[in-house]
Amino acid sequence: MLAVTLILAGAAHAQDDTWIRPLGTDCDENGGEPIVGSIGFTNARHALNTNIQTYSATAFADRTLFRSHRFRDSDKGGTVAFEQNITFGATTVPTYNSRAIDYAVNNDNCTPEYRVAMRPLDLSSTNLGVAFQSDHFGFFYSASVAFGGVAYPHNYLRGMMYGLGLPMYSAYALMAAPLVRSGYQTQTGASAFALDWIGGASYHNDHIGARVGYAGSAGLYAAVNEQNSGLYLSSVVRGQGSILGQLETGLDRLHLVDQLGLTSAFLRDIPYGASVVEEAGARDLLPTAGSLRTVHFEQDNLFDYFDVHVSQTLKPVSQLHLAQVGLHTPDYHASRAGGDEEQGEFRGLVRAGVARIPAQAAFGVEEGSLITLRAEGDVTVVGDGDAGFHINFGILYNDAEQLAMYPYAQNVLTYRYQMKGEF
Amino acid sequence: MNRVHLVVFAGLTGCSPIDPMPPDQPCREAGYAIANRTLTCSGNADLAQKRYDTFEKDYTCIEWKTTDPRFNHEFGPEDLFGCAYVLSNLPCELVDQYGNDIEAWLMTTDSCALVVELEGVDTSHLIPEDTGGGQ
Repeated sequence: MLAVTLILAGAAHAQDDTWIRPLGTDCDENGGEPIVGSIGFTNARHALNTNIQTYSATAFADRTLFRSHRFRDSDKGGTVAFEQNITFGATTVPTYNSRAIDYAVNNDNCTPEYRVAMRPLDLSSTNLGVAFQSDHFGFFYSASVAFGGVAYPHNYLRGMMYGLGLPMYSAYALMAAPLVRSGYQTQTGASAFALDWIGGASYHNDHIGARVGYAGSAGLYAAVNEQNSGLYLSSVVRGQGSILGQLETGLDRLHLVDQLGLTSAFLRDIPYGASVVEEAGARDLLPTAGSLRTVHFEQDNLFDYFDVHVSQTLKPVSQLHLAQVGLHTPDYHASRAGGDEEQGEFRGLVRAGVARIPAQAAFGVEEGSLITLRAEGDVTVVGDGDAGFHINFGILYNDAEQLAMYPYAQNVLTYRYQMKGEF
Repeated sequence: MNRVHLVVFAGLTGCSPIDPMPPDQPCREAGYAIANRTLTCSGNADLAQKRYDTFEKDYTCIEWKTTDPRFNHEFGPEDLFGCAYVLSNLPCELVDQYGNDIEAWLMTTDSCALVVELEGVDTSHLIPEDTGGGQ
């Protein structure tokens, strides 16, 4: 069926002026030239950095490998995880399409109507991580590849890029990450690519957990957590010339009363508009020492079935995002103590709401309302006691998590796919 | 049935990936640049919004269609973003000096008169004489 779909889509794409390829829209398929000085260009540069920071190897290890009951108990065991995030339309960028100028001469399918056009910025990230512990000591490794740029002019090509191309090239990049000793980051115009890895050692007992490591592109990484309350602090010290850095501290899934479920609260600070490697002669429009600081409060498994999430951006502007209320299958969120894994079990979550967006001319955002939606599904493919293998799929549309990351987003859509095994 | 699959396949990536430039986009970009530069230099989001609101209330945008016959190889719709480019690069000393005087911001460069109605600014040197074709 996939082959038939691709052949038909390819055939349709080869025709002029079809629903899949409207007249005049073949404008600079690699994204055109973003117009420097536009707010969309500035937003795009911020979004590219935020994507790289949020889905860095270090952040992924923190979020996915270590917030596992495997790093709380003194058993031997480990965790392996793979995740992809694809975000469409983090912002809109005015682009200059050079082919439109001479379309009459070259007979290109790019008309003057699109000589300057508004095009969305697409972002992607792929992460791979593994951690193993034996009694009190363990080791971990995590790698990330993040990429973003102005979208192709047709949804068909966009789908091909992120549905087929991304998984293939990301897999190769992740395998090669340790070979690029200091990681690799490049950014030009409104596109960026970053490859990073982190490796290190962990220690834990009944009271504390601690991890130290080396992040290829950033330098030293350190994290510590208290095992009973869930208090934690994690940080990456930015190396010179690196755009990567991170500070996160808070409370992870505190369980006090059964009916209240799990309480998490945390503050995250990542570089915002950090200095980046520029092409010779390119102008750096970005501040060099800014930060994107957000605070989050999450009450999960409330009366087993409900979630309440609130997030607020503190910097660069203060902005409260509407609280979202979610409904899910019982005990959707795993506690820090873990839980029984049952093969074939399906768990799902739906959150929806309306976010009121204040006018923010500094980001080119007009006042308005956005519909928000988040849907997740989790299937336990293999389950055996407290070990198991899960596949999790999520769709986020103007979700509070996205709006906190991309405060200039208007209609942002993210697909998330994660496979995680605990053994 | 296969067409349904194709629609879903394309729709999964969201909305249209290319739209024509709105006619007032270069003008609004000038206002956004004032707001963004104010936020960057002062850290005050309310002040940034206030300056944009003043810009929007006190000045009239000049609208341009990308198919305007005056565009050619030397002068195109991309050049209309010159005002925003200059304003978004103003040093913070000048941002502080201009403050709430939006006209002072807009008089920084003649290119602002291409997108905002400003009295007494000659833009003829910005638009080549031999306009009217080339496409």
